[in-house]
Amino acid sequence: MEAMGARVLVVDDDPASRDLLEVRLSALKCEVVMAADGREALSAIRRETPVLALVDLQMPGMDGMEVLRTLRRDGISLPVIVITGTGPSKAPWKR
Amino acid sequence: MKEGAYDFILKPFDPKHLEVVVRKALERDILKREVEVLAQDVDKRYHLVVGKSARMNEAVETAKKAAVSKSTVLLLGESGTGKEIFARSIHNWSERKDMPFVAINCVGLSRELLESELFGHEKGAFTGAHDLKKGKMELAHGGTVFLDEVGDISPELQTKLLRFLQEREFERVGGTKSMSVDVRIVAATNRHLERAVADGSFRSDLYYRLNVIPITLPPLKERKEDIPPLTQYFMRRFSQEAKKAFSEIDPEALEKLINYAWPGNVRELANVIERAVVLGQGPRIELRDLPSRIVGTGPAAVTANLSYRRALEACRREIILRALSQNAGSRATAARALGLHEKYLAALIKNLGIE
Repeated sequence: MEAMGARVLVVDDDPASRDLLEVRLSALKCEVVMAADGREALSAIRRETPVLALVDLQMPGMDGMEVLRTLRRDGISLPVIVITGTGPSKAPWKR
Repeated sequence: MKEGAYDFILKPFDPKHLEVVVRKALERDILKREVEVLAQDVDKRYHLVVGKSARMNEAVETAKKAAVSKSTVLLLGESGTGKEIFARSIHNWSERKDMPFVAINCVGLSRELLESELFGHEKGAFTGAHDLKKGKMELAHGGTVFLDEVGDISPELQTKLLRFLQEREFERVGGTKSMSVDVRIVAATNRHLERAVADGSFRSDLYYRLNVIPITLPPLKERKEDIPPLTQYFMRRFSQEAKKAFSEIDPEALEKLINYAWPGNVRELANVIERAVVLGQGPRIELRDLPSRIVGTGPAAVTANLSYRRALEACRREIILRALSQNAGSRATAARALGLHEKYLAALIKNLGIE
């Protein structure tokens, strides 16, 4: 099943991550919109009306959690996938 | 989920996980379609690339022998060591290879959803169950079911899974009729199941049912000799995909790759090379094409994501390995170079498990 041109917003302050996500999501036939921080994200959501957002939790200034809280407070139920951390921390021998 | 996040993905990105998560979000929230089974065709992306390390080859030999039987295989190893690729390989080496290979990740789904994913549900079994849905066990009939992160399933499902493993029988959620299927189970976990059994969070009888043929996949840092061939392989693959002409790697960059601790294992290496190929100019991967965590020198690179104790251990290991390689493996000269007594160095080598 293809994502059929669904517009997806990527919010990440790291350009390399953004690029990689763009490549990946384009391969899934998504239309990708990008934002480099929380504030850009909020205006992009209102302007571009994406159907899904991928938001990095750790960003300078307004972080991912704050973006989420703001959206929910404003009653915007856009599904958000948060991007977290560096690498797997679940493996017990890495604790 | 907390604050209303739909799902989450981890950096470094696992392309397939990303795809699954994004697709699920789009399908559930927009298209309102049923989540599709990840069937046979999903992963042409990864092939099993073995390399030449003894430990990996040993694992492959065991897996090939296991493939011809119907016995349950338990794959152990850190995240990113290739457990799913291994599971697929076992399927492909078996006489079931023309039948379905169905993978299910046991983590991240609620107990109810996971149970219905595994065993299916009858129409009207719960709110939202408008239609009969076959579970993955049923869909995989004649083939192989891969249970990823099996160490994370709830006690209730552990009981159901145990019964299934014992009798190869189950009921759909909300159903009364016993169904029986012929599937081969390959399970995987990055948890210490023995420890989970000891602390009571994992049923011991289920553990023994799963642990018929255990195969441990070594972490990448313990098979550094495989880093150059894996790098070559990923460079070729991603060059093709990205339509670029990368053909070599700066020796210094390769050395950084070899010295890095790879907490995310082969998956992390694949991501690093993909990033270098996608963002770089080519035809050579240069130092500047690598992320700073890898180029960064000193302890930070070795100790990323580790606890204090583990980090110290990693540093000591690194220091000793470097001294040994600079001194052609001679313990006597390495000890002199480090200012240690040879006996003490030998003890360290033993304690740190360096070969």
